[in-house]
Amino acid sequence: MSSVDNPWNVEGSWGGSMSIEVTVDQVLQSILAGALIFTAVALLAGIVEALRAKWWRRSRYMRLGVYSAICTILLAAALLSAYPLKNVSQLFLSTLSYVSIILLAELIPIVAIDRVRGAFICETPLLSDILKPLERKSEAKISGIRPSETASSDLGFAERDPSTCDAHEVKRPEEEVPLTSHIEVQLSRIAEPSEHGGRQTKPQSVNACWKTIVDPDYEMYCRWILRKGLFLRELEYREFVKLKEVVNQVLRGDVFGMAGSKLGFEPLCLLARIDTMEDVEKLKRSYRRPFQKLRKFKLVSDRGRLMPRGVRLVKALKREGLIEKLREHPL
Amino acid sequence: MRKVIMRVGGGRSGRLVYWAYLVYGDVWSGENSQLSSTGFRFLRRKDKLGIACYLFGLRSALRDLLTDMERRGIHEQYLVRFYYVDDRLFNVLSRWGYGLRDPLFIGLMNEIRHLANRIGLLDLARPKSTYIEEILRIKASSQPYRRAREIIRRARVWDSSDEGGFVVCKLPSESEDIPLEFLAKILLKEEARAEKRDKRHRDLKGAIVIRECKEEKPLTRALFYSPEGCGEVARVFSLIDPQYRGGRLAARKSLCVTRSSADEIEEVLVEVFDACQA
Repeated sequence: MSSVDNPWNVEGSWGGSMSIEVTVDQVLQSILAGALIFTAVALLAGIVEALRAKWWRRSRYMRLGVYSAICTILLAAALLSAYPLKNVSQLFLSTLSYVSIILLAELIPIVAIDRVRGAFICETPLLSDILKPLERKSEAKISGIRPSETASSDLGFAERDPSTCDAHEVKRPEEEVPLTSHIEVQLSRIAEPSEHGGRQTKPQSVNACWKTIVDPDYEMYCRWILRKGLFLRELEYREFVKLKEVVNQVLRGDVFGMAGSKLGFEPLCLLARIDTMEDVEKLKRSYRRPFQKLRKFKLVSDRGRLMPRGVRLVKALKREGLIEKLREHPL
Repeated sequence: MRKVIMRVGGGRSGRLVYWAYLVYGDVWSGENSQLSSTGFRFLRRKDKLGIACYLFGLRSALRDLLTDMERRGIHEQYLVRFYYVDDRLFNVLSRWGYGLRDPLFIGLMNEIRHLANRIGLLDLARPKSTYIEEILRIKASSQPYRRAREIIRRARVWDSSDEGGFVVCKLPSESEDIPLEFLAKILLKEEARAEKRDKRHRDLKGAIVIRECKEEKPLTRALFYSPEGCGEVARVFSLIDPQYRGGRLAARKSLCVTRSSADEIEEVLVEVFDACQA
């Protein structure tokens, strides 16, 4: 009877002489076991990657592991609520126990090692949103500086939290990012002097006085960084503004920008690499578009050497201490 | 006592002097390589006159041999047979420079005597023919070219213009054994070769090589070299550079000495090229 009622029965092409019975329970169990094993393997790879990779690079496998874990939980909840398991096989139970032990063991480095923990927190969507502001608040308390004064005190810009950028925001800036969406750079209120001469702020009135300004270039830069898979951005907004000023000042005009017609960040990184006398021919072959951009702005010659404008720009960037940061950026 | 054959070639006609030595006997026990070496030395213009070039070559060869012996831990005495190519050289060396008045020669001879005494004995022999010296010159002449190419490869090079113009080369400070003029010529040759290889003609005008001298009072030398003439660029440079100290301005080869650092010179050169284009 069961072979007639059960739609999962499969009859062989040899005319029903042999039949393999596959029940819904078995399919569900194999899906769940597979998802769990995949999660465990991805997390393991993520831990190894977080330990070996540079600190600023985002761990791809950790991201895969975290999202795989989330998907597994959602999948298990959906499938088991739709079809509760009746016959749990011994094989599934043993697999479940082994994978659980592995996952628990993987929690040890995630909790104990800073780099792995940081990567895990950064890749976990809600967790990073909750923990990062808390960390910043505690840091501000320790150092005795108010949060509004910590970032970019000279320009008065608050820093945007890098971990709030989700992985799904990774897009090509020219194609997919609408121009109406802007990063919010908040202008902090200047502290008023107190009666005793010290600086004193009024927390109640701070929110009312904050203004919001937008910088689409910086937003595009952030997305470019995310697209490149960096764990943290290298340049703060202050440095980014300084870079923009230097480039525009040296090249005389509104040259710097992340738009296609302007001199973007990628060509500048390539310029910094050319300055370090890396293999120019290889750089030319590998990064043709940024190289063409540098050629267009007459910063390098056809042979891949710096030209006077390029020399002037590199020296100005060196004076501001930005060339090292550009070199560290991956292309 | 082991025997060492030592020869010196080149010099006199040019500023390059070559030397070579070879040790006979089982001195390199356990080592397959022979205790032998060849080398070169660029002389100052005033040093290339007369027999001074040979004395400089001999001194360099003795220094190298002593360094090699110390490196290998050999504490044996050697009989150094030096083949002199000039009778005046024999007269000077056989009397250890006795009777000479030039302090340059006296200092040089004292050093040669000191080195020879540390190594062992210096024996003077007249070569039957100077054929070996000629072979030595040919053999050793590849060394400065190789060294110059190596220096240029490690130097920072940039172009003043995409189509033609000058190649500016900021040399590392450890390249002081090679003169700027030689490096500029090699740089231009390399550029011409690269143009031929790329099958592209870009009308290269000349080369500018810059080197910092790290002494008590650091000076930087910039040599402008162009077969077509670079006098104007050098003249503008001498006018624009605020720390220009002096030099020799000429049509094809100009040397500028300045107190500015190499980085500052590069910036000045950028202004010079802008001024020349305007």
